[in-house]
Amino acid sequence: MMHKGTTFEKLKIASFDFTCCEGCQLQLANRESTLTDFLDLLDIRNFREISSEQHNDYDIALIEGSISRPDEVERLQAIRRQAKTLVAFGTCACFGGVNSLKNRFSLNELAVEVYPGMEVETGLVKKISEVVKVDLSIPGCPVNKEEVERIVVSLVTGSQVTLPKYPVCIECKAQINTCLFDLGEICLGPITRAGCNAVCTTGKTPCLGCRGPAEEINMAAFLELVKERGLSENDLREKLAFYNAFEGLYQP
Amino acid sequence: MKHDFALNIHHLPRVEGHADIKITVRNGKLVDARWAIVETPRFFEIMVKGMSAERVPFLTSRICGICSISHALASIRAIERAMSIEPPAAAEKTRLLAMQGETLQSHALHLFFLVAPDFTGTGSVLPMIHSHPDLVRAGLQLKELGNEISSVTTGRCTHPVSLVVGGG
Repeated sequence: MMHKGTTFEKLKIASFDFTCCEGCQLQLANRESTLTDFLDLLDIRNFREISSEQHNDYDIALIEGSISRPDEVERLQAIRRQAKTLVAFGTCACFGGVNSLKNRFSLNELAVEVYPGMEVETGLVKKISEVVKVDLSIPGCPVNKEEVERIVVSLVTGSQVTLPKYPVCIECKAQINTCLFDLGEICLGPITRAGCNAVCTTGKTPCLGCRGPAEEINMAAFLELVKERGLSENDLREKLAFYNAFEGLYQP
Repeated sequence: MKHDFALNIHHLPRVEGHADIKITVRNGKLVDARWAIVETPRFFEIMVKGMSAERVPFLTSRICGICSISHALASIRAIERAMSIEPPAAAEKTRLLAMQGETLQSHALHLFFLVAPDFTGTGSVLPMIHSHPDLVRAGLQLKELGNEISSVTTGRCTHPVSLVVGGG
């Protein structure tokens, strides 16, 4: 592929889904206006959801979802052996995501309550990095296609892949939104990595931290802010636990 | 003619979700035909236990990335009925429009991206970009329109941000 006099190789890429909603894969087919240009950068070798043709000679593997069953561990390990670059694609892959909420209950309780009389195989939900080495993480529930496009261009041109280091508040302020703290809501914007263009807070919904912690966050100051405003500790706990993205950063 | 064969398809391609198909034929007679949903169970029914009602739609939308609006709206309806909340008329209209947007997106995805390759004899929609550009363009435009309706009504086309209990 030639672009402005330079030759680039297409990315030999594959997409695999595990315990998830398939919403991150779906983003690959969104932003229709740029889709054909985007696909021009990719040589899709294996992508079950859209293609019957499956080849196992990919270099980059996008992994969507978390891991919750032994067969998923084996499948993921086989992908790891093939992929030169393994990408945790989306919040479930990066942090465990909403699937992790089930880890609060005993496996027996889950099976009996939800599928009584049926044999159900399930285990503790794990993020991808608990099972195999991850080379690159793209967080988001779902991933932001614009960011995915930017990262794919970086990979094609061999330049450094970066994510915003600053928190969602920066993007939220740029949208001239009223701060949700001023409306009496706990919002995880001050501690969450930007890159979503503050889509939730612009819709007046508090940030639940799907992109995980921003770099060098001041958790103590954030907790102090919640306390100072007299906001609910239960609400804070529920929000921080929602995507399992702040694990180890908060002890109630 | 008498035939013996077994067909085993693991993780059927070009479908949303995971399914296996197993078919056994002996002496030309079908002895077993199974369609297995091999999706990993996620237990949303138990995850919502103890969660604030206002947060539930943001969780249930994550049941499915393709029809997240439907799942969010189903839980909103359940909560509103349980709490005897009557949503304002404007919210009802916005929700209906959001649903239509999602249906348009989902059907266009299914028909033009997942099913069409069966009719064009290609393994996927990808070669169709060059062999059937008009068909792909029509599919993309319909999908884009559906996504645009969802974005305008719910803030985002996958996993809505502004569908809330009580409307508003």
